[in-house]
Amino acid sequence: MFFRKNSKKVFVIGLDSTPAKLLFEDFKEELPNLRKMIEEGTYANFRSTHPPITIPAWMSICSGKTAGEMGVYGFRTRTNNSYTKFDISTSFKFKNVEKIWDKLAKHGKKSILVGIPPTYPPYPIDGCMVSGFICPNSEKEYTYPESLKKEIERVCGEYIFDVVFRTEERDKLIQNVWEMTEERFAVIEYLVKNKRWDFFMFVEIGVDRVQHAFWKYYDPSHPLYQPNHRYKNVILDYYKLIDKRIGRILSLLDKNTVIYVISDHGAKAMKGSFCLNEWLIKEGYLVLNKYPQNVVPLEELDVNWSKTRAWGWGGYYGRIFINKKGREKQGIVDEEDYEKLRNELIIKLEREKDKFGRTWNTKVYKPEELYNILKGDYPDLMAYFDDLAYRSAGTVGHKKLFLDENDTGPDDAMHDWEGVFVRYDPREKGRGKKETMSILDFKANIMETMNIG
Amino acid sequence: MVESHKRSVAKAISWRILATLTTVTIVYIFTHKLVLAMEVGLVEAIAKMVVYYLHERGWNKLKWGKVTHPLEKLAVKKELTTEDMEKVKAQLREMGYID
Repeated sequence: MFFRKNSKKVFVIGLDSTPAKLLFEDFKEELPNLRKMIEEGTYANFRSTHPPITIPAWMSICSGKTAGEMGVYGFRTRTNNSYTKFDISTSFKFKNVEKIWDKLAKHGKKSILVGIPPTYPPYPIDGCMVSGFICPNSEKEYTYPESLKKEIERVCGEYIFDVVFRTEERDKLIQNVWEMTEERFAVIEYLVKNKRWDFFMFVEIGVDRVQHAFWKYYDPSHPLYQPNHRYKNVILDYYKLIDKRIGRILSLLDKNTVIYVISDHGAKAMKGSFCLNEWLIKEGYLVLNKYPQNVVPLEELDVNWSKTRAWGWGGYYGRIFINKKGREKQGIVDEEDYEKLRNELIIKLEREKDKFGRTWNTKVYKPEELYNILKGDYPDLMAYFDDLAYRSAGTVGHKKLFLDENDTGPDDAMHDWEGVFVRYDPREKGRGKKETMSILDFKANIMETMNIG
Repeated sequence: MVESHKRSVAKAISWRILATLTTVTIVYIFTHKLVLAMEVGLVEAIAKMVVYYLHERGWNKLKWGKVTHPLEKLAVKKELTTEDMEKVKAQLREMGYID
């Protein structure tokens, strides 16, 4: 190890939520820098993990571990078998998980990380870190080392982590997301030029935000598609901005740097929301003392826990919890009935029809079917409604099972299973399109490139 | 990886039992005196257990030959304050990640 001959550097471009079809087919010809890397490198569809959610998917990419192994099942994870309490998936939840940069540091390699979810609060690494989008605002400490914050503010002023994207004020959103991305790339260029690094990785969350806000103007398969709208090219224009800024970065990198372009999951048209808790109420699994007058989240519901057998959480996938005797405070489902109830829920949900009365492709899993190791407070069932085309709505008070949109605000897109993987080595001809790769293999791929066993 | 004190002690004991039985056997072969062999074994066991432990801890203080994370002694910063956590939750709610 003291005489390792190969010491390639690695630069990772993370585009949150970029779907394979969009980059490899629909937009490729319009994006000269990304096209060059695709055509001269190796590329593949990048299969996301269960669940295909930003957190934990980026951490699965960076650690090679499943959500089950990390004990983190989304942006929030239930705590202490509580009915309503949960933990937010901050960087602290992954402190015992070995990430790419932890392993590299053991081999004396320095890393720079910008915007990787979740890197807030920031923590010490052998290099530099700029937190990702769950940081509330730039008044917080969001860098490691802390002194880096001042350098960043000299480059771009007040650093922008994210934009409000569930909004009807779309012109303002375009302005905000462009500004955020230009600033982020200015910071990235500064760090590339001025800091020592062997491994550099950043994630641009703007891609996800633009797709969520403008998908219905781009995709004819969207139920609310609006042809020839003035927003029809917003997503493409945003990718052109990204491509232009990537071109500037490429001009700063030497031939010894291998470049990766990856995304954590794909995106597709959202057909609507399935009101999971409304369904559980209708089927008699979730019992309320009083049905609410307005739409409210689970925490504000007057639930009769002594008669409730199951309840659910919303999000891009549905989580179902069983009110199990001996585990939940007022649990009523006996151990011997637990499996029977889970099987019953799976059959009923998969047989349900979509909002048009058509058969849907819903898959409901027991977590032990998806993960070899299960840590933390995992859900009893995980549901992907119509293969992710429908969001799970956890709120109650809608008086119906389906909503045309997201229950938490305007939203056009849902997550999808396949993101992108591109590997471009300026010194080596790539192998063109490969078979679909798992995001869990990314860490090992980096180690191989950097010749670290 | 740093070895814990407990693990070093456990290793010292298991090795000592094995090594002392060896010593007792050798002394007995040379002298054919079982009591003497056991006395030598007892003194040797106590003395060398202490020496072994000190030797092990001494080596642990040396960084030479170990692959370590340069920042491994720095603790990951503590979890967010309750106030900051509420701000993060409100933000995630606004984004629709939690309902």
